[in-house]
Amino acid sequence: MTARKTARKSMRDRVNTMGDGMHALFLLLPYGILFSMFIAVPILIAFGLSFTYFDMIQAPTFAGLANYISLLTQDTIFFQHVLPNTLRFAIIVGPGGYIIAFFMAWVLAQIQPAPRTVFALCLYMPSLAPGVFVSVVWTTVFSGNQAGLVNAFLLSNNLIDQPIQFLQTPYYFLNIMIIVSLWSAMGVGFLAMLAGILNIDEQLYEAAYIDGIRNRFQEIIYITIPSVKPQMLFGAVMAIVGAFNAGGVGVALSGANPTPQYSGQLITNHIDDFGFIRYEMGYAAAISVMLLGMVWVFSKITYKFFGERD
Amino acid sequence: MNRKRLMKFLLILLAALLFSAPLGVVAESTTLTFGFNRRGWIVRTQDAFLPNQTITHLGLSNPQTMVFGPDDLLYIADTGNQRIVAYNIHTGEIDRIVTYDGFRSPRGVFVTQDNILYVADAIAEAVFVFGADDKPIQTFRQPRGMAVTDTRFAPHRIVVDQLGSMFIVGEGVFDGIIQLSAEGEFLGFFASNQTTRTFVQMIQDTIFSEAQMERLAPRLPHTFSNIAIDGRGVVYTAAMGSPAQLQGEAIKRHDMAGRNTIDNFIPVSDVADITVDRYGNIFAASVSGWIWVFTNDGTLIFYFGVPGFTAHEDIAGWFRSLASIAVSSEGHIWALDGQSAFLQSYTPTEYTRAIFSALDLFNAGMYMESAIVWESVLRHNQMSRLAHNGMGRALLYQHDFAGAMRSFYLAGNRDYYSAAFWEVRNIWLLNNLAIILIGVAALLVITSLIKRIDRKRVIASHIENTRRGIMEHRYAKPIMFAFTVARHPLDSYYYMKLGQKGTLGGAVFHFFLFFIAYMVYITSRGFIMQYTDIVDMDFVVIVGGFFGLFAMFIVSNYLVTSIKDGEGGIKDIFKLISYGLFPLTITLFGVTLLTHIITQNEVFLVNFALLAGGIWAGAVLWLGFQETHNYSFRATLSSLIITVLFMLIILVVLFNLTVLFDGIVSFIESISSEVYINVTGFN
Repeated sequence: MTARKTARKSMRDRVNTMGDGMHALFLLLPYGILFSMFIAVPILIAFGLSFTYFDMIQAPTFAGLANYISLLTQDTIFFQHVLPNTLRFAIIVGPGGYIIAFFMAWVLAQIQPAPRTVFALCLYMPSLAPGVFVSVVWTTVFSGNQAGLVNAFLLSNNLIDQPIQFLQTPYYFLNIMIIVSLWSAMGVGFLAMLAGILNIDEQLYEAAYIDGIRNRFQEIIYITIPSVKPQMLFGAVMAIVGAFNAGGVGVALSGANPTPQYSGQLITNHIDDFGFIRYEMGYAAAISVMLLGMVWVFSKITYKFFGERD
Repeated sequence: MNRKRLMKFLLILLAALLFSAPLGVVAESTTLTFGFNRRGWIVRTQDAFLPNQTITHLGLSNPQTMVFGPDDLLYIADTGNQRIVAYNIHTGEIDRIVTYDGFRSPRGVFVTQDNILYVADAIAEAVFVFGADDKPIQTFRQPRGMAVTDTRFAPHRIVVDQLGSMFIVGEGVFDGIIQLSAEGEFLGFFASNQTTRTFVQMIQDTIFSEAQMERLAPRLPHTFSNIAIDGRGVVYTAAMGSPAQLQGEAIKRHDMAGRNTIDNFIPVSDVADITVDRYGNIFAASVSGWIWVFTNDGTLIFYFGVPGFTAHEDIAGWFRSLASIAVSSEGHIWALDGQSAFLQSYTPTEYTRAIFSALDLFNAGMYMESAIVWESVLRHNQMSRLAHNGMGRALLYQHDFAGAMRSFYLAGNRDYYSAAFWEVRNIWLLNNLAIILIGVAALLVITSLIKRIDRKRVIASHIENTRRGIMEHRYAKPIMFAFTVARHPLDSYYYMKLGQKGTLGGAVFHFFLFFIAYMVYITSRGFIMQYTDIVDMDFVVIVGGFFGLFAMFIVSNYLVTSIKDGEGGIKDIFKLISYGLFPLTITLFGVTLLTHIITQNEVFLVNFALLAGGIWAGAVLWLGFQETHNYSFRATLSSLIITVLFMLIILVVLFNLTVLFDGIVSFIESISSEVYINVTGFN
C-alpha cells in the first residue's frame, strides 16, 4: 500500500518536474497534429520535392538545385510571360480589388440592414463559385462570335466590322482576366471589413464632428480607417495572396492551359502546366516554392503598410 | 542647357543634315529616290533605279497593262488597237502581234510558264485563251454560278495560278476577285475589300433616320485596281481609293482563304498596277508616276519618280499616266504610260542590287551572308532604316545580341531592340546570378548577425543618432520635411500654414529638384521608352513651357483664391506645390533609371509607377490646397477649375497681345520707312 502510494507520488512529482512547458505541449497536441498533418508536412514535402525529379510514377530521384537552376536560367516562358503577367495581374487586382472591396464595404455600411444583407450576399457570391460563374457569365459576355454581348453591342453600333475573338487574342486576354478578377474581388476580406466598419462606435463619429471634422472624407480618414485597421490588414493580406494565387480565371475563360500565346499565363497556371500536364512534379514544386517566397515578400510589405506600428 | 551641350547638338544636327544629303547622286538620273530614315521621316536616298530606254515607236494606243512571259517577252494589252503586242526587250523589236475577232477591249493579259496567253476583255465580257502558237483554245464567258449574284462579268485584269485557276478583277464588282477554275467554273469571290466609315458617316449613322439614309449615296467598298501572282502562286492585289478608305491596305498579299497577310502600312493610295519579282519584292506603280518598291511583307524599301514640280514630258521617267509595271528576269523595271503610250525601262543601281540580294539571302536563311551584304548596303547609305533593320535581324539570328541591339537602335526599331536587349540582359543575369544571390544572402546573414550581436542596440542607436543628426541639420531639415509632407499631408500642411515647418528655401530646392527630375525624364529615358531624340527636342518650348505654366498656375491660383476667401498667399501656394510634387520627383528619377533596364515586357511597371506617383502627388497637392486655403472639397474643386480656366484666358490674351504687338511693330516700321523714303528720296 505504502509502496504503491510512494510510487504514485513519485510519478506525480515526475510529472510536476516536467514543468508547465510540457503541459502546454500536451494541450497543444490536437492542434499540433492537425496543423502538421494538413499544413506543415505538405509544405515540407513540397519543399523537399523541389529538390528532386519526380514524375508521379517512379520514386523521386534527388536532383539537387537543378530545378531552381533551370527555372532561373532556362525557363524563358517564365521570365518572358509568366512573371510579367503575374506581376501586372497582382499589382492591379491586389490593390485594385482591395480598394473596391473597402469602398463597397463602406458604402454598404451606410444603408439599412435588410438591403445591406442582400447586397452583401450578391457581392460576395462571385468569389464563392468563381470557376462556374466565370465560365458561364463571362464567356457569354466576351464570346468571340457575334452573339457575345460585347461583340453584339459593338456590332450593332457599327463600331467594328467583324466580331473580335476576345478570349483568344493575346492583346485583350490579360485585361479581360483583370476585369473578371476585379469583379470577383469581394471575398473574405470584404466581409471582414464590412463587419469591422459596422462595429465602429457611432459615438466616435459624433465626437469627431464636435471636434471639427467637416465631411465624409475626413470621417473615413480620421475614424473609419484607424478603427478597422486590423480587418484592413487581413483584407490586404487576403487580397495579395488571392491575386498571386489566381490562375483559374485564365484557364476558365480561354478553355485551355496554356492560355492563348501565354498572354494570360500566371504562376499558378505555370505550376499546373508542369505539374499536371507534363508531370514534372519536382519542377512544379520548385515554382511553388518560388511563389511562396513571392507571396511572403509581398505580405511582409503589406504588414509594413498596414501593421500596427505605434 | 549649357553652351557646350548646345554646340554638340548643333554639330550633330549639322552632321545629320550632311549625311542625309545624298552622297552618291549621279547627275544623269532624272528621278529622285526617297526612303525612310530611323525616325520614320521620308528622306532622299541614293538613286535606286536609273531611267534607261524610252520606247515610243510601238504604235500603241491606250495600252492598259502588260506582263512578262517566259523568255522575257513583254506582252502588252494594246487596248485601243484591240490587239496584244509581244515585245522582245533584248532585241528591241516586236516579236509578234496577237489579234482575234472577238477582241473588243482587251485590257488584261497574262502568260503562263507554258506560254498560254490569257486575255481579259471587259466589253466582250469574256476571257480568251490562246495556245503557244497564238491559236485560240477557249473562251470563258459569264460562268453560270455567278449569274445568281447579279453582277455583270466584265473581266478587267487577270492572273492564272499553276493549276490554271483564274483570278479575275471584274469591272464594277464589289464582292471581290472572281475566281474561276481551269474549266471556267465559278469558284466564288476570292477576297473582298471592306467598307470603312468616315467620321461624318458615323455621325450620319447615329442621327439620320432610315429615309434620310436611303437618300445618301450607297457605301460601297473600294474596288480592286489590279492583281499579280508570284512564282509560288501567292496572289497580290492592289486597290485605289482615298487614303481614308484604304487605311494603308492599298496592296494586299493574300493567303489561300483570301485574307490579307501584310501587316505593314502601305502609304500609297493610287496604285494602278503591281508586280512581284522573282525575289518576292513587290513593285507598285501609282497613277501619279511614282514607282514604289516593297519587301514581300510590305515594308517600303524606297520609291522614286520625277517630282511634280519639275514635271515635263522631256524628262525620262516622267509619266502622264502610269498604267502598268513589269519586272524582267534581270530585275529591270519596265513601266507603261497609258495616255502617251510609251514604254520606259529602268536599270537597278548597285545599291538596289545589294538590297535585293541581302533580302533574298536573309529569306533563304543565310543570315551571315546577308549581314555581309547589308554591310555593303550601309556603305552606300548609312541612314538606311531597311539596311540597319536587316543587319540587326541577321545578327539577332546569329545570336550576336549586342550587335543586333546597336543595329536596331540605329534603325529606330524599338520592338526588335527590346527583343535583343532581353537576350543581352538575360545573358548578363545568368552570368551574374550566382554573385547576386550570394550577395543578397550574405547581406541578409550579416544584418541578422549584427542585430543579434547588437542586443543592447549600441550600433543601432548610433546609426539612429547620426540619421537624426542629419535630419535635424539646419539646412537639411526643411528639405527632409518633404518626406513628412508625402506621408502625412494634412498635418504637414497644417504646420506649414502655421509657419512652424517648411521654409521658402526648402520649397525652392524642391521646385528645382522637380525641374531636374522632369528634364532627366524628358531627355534620358532608355531607348525603348525615349520616343524623341534629344536632338529633335525644342528646349525653349520644354523649359519655357515648364516655368511659364508653373508661374502662371501659381499666379492664377492666387488671384482666384484671393477673391474666393482662400487663406494662402503666393508664397504659400508656391511652397505647397513645391513640397507636394516630391512624390512625383522621386517617381520620375526612379522611372528614368528603370527605363534603362526594362524591355517592352515590363513597360507596364513604368506606367504603374508613373500612375502611382502621379496619384500620390495629386492627392498630396489636393489636401495641400484644402488645408492652405482652408477650403472644403467643393471649394477646392471649383477654385482649381476656375484657375485652369483663368490660365486658358491668360494664354489667349497673351496670344492676342503678341499678334497685336506684331501689328504695331510692322505699322511703325512701314511708317518709318515711308518717312525715310519721303525725306531722303531713296527707295
